[in-house]
Amino acid sequence: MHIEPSFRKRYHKALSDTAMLKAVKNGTGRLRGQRATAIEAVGTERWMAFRDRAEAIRLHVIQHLDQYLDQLINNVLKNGGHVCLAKTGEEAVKYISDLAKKKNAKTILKSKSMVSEEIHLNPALEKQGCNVIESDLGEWIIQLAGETPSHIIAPAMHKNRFQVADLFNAVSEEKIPTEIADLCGFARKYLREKFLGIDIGITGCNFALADSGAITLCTNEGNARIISALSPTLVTIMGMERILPGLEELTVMLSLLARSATGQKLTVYNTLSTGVRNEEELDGPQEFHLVIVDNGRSKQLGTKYEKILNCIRCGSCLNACPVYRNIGGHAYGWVYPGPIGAVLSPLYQGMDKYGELAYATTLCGACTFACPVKIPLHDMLYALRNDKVELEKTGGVVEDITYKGWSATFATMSRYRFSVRMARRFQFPLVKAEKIAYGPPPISDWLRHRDMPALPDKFFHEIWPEMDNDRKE
Amino acid sequence: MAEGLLAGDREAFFSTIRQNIKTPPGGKAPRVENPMNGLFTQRETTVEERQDLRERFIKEWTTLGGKAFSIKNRVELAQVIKQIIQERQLQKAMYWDHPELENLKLEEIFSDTQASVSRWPLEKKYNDWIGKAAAMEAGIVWGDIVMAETGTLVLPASSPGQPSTVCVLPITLIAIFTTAQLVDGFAGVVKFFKERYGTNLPTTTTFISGPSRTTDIEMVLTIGVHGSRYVYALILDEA
Ligand code: SF4
Repeated sequence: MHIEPSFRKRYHKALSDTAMLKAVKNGTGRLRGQRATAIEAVGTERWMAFRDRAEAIRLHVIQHLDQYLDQLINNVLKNGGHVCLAKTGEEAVKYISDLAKKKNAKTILKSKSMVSEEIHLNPALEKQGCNVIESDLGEWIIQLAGETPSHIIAPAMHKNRFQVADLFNAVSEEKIPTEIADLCGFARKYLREKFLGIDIGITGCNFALADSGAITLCTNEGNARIISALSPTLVTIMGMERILPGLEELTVMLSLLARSATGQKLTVYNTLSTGVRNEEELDGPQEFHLVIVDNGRSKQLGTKYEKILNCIRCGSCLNACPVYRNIGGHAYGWVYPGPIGAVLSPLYQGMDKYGELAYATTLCGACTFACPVKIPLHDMLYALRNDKVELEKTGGVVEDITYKGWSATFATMSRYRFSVRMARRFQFPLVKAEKIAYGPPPISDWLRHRDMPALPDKFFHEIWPEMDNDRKE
Repeated sequence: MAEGLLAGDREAFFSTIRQNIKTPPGGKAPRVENPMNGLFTQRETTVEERQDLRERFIKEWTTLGGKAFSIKNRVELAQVIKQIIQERQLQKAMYWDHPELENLKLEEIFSDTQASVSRWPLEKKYNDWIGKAAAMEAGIVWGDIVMAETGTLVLPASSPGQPSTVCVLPITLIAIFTTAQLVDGFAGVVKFFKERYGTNLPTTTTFISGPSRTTDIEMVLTIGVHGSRYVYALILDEA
């Protein structure tokens, strides 16, 4: 196995952070438990029917993405909203930065948007003097810590209350107690003031409805609801695949999303908004901008990875994954962690940077089983490994010779038996306590994390004839 | 309303998408006819069945952390509202400009309490109403349609007098509705929306299932981080 040093450094760092590992294990365990209870209440058969329906809906949309995008754009424009089509992250960032300049925006409040993390929007806006504040509690905590999210739906899962109190005390005039209720109370008070002085609001998009141009936002805290009510100018950033035909399809997705993410029947606040307020209305945005981002998504259409565009970002695959549960989110490097991140990062950011994430899996398939829209994540991870090997021929000449030798040896029984006899005879300098304990690289790498038993005195195929004779006698 | 503007090269944006979309050997996945079929309860309900739905809603709503009251008449309504005013020590409340709430004459109920109540709009200009709205301790809304299975208020901003600000800014939310507003779940909501709006949806619709919640610190459930912390459902008999 070839792992890039950067990934190794990242997961080694993660493995040494015991507080983080404990928090991630606890958090993912709870979320998995809550999801299981929710599914039990629905009934396994009905749950499977929900998943089948959701998969069919998403497949249809992705294979007709051009039509639905066209319909969505026309409806948003008709409703009075502006639309920016951004092929790259830079185009999206430029559009929003220019808008902030034009509006002379000082205070920008954001609700959770993974795409905005993906395109590095906050640093660009901060650079031009805007005060950008994340309003989702978890996002705000990691913003204060100067970190990136470690989980799609619980971004600050890796922090404990004492660390959060330290972060809050750095922006508070009075000392905040470490009780969780007090910490949340402080966040409410502090952020409420910011909400009331908002110049531009920026939200993500859970689903856009093509037939009405409505944007759906799902938050348990209500922050996205407040932002879309109070922002004079509202910007919604969406990955171009986050479309559904209409309201009926939305009900299926909302039912699956909440249960898969947190085990709730529905997220507390689900908002459907068509953008600009009517003339007689007093709240809601006067100006609405929908930024539709491609940034590598269109390249997946028509490929064996197309189904990754079905993702509804519920985070369920993270909680199911034994690797994620043992290393947390930051080890994955880019903004999307866990199995979904291990697939998305190399596809969107390049195999050269993130190809090694295809090895951050046990290929157990738990992610695929957990996915509400039935994305075959573990098959994709396996395919990515193949692609990586094809692309890089990682071991070069040495690996080539090794595999050719291996294949020649295993091609005939006599060669195989001869090689085993030789290996058994000459393995003794490498053996300790019946295990292969030493070896040259890359075997030494492999041995660092795994046990390899020494070759036994007799193999099964050598014992079998004797047993067979005994049986016959 | 004036049409919005499009930025970016529409042709270039779409050309990659169209080039890359392929038709798989079996053909493209067809649109799912009736996506909700078999997944959600679909039925017309009788008055008696809606009594059961009320019980179901109360169970869900209270599990989520809300409080619910079954109310027979206006006298009981006044008693419950006064109890909430007392419980939450309310001074200021605002309510939707909604014909059903108008019929309930909320001002009269509030008149012999410590609290005042104002109907939306509080002021005409943003800078004037925003401060006033932020100072309100309770928002009172009419539940146009309510889902029993999930304990969800569905609040379309059907007119300018029914903004989402009233249901999300104050720390206390009071939703009033009759059992006639109760449906099982999404099937009833979609039917209501199709009949009333078609694809011409109101500017905003808010679905609220219980109080604002977060588990962002140590996965411990904490109520009321941004939206309402105290949520009350006042369910009137439909007769
Ligand atoms: S891949 Fe599936 S399980 Fe993972 S986040 Fe996306 S929808 Fe959820």
